[in-house]
Amino acid sequence: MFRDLNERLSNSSGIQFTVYCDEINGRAFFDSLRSSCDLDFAIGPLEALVLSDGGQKLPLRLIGPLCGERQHIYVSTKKRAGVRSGVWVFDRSSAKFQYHVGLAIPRSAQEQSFDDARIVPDLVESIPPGDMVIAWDPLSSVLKGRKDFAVIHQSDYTVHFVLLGHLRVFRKNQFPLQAFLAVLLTEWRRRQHRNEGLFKILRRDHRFMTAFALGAGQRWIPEV
Amino acid sequence: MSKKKEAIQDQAVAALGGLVGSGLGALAGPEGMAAGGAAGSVGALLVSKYAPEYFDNSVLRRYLSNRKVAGILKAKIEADLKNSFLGSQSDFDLAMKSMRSLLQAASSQDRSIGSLDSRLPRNFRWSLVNMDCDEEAFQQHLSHMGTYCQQNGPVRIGC
Repeated sequence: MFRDLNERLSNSSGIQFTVYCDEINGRAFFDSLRSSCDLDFAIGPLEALVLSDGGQKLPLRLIGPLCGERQHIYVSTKKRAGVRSGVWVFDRSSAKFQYHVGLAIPRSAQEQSFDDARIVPDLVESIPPGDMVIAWDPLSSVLKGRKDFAVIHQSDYTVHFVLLGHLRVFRKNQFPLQAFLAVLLTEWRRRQHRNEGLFKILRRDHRFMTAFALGAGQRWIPEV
Repeated sequence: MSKKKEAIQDQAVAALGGLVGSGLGALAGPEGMAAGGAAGSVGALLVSKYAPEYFDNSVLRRYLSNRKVAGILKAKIEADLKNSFLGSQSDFDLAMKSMRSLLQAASSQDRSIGSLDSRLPRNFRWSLVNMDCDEEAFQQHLSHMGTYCQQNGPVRIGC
């Protein structure tokens, strides 16, 4: 949306947005800000933020929630070779957060923590029968369509995508925060009725498409 | 590659081969179309089986793989806008309430998580009330932002 605004308005009004969107998931994004955070605004899952930035060292403060993303627990229904009930949880992510809160986690479940999101596609293929995995979109919608996985009853969890501002944007006369939020809100509401341009803009960004595809357990092949 | 994936790949290859073959066969009439389609499918399947490296780098493979990712992305954009918390002040407040109680529950397991309030700025609360703006007000906000950007450079947003 900000890229679209930038393309449409930078010539006429002088407004300029630079959007960085290279990481595979929210945790990797917040981790990448630890060494330096020169963003004015950040958008990501609150659940990953609080687990990645436990000491609250990042200079970011919460402005408000933007949207929810669905997360579910899936159980592998491949032919059983024995009863297992491990639950695979990506460490310091919204999956870990759901595990902490205990929502729809069976009492007998044993946590199987992993720390590298790139193994997710292989993990999904090799997960033992009876084991579970906590997955958010886009992987969640991919697993929903597979016959060898079933959603655990009442395991839906809404991941909260939030807008965060750098400490400096809240300082008086440093940044036109009300104007920024009014533009964001107006554009957001317009996009709810007319969003066809957003896909075209994202599709042009090869790094984004590669990261998005990986997050869905898929592969984006560059178009030469 | 799993057998299931292999079967899907073979179907796709055969379908494309069949299409190409039947297109060429159509030049020779209905019988030619059928014969061409069958020959094309067999040929494409043979390529997939005996020269998989060629298929892996093929236009067809790229098309099928990218089409799937594009479909997932389109659905994700729709879902994000549909599951918005910015529709009304009550949606927004409800989400804030939910986040507050979830953080409270999670911090009982891990103290470092802290409360929602500790992550809010000291002197600012976003209220959606009175933020709806007509075209004139919207243009004023854009102008205000434009002036800022001319003096300070682009607004940097990460996600």
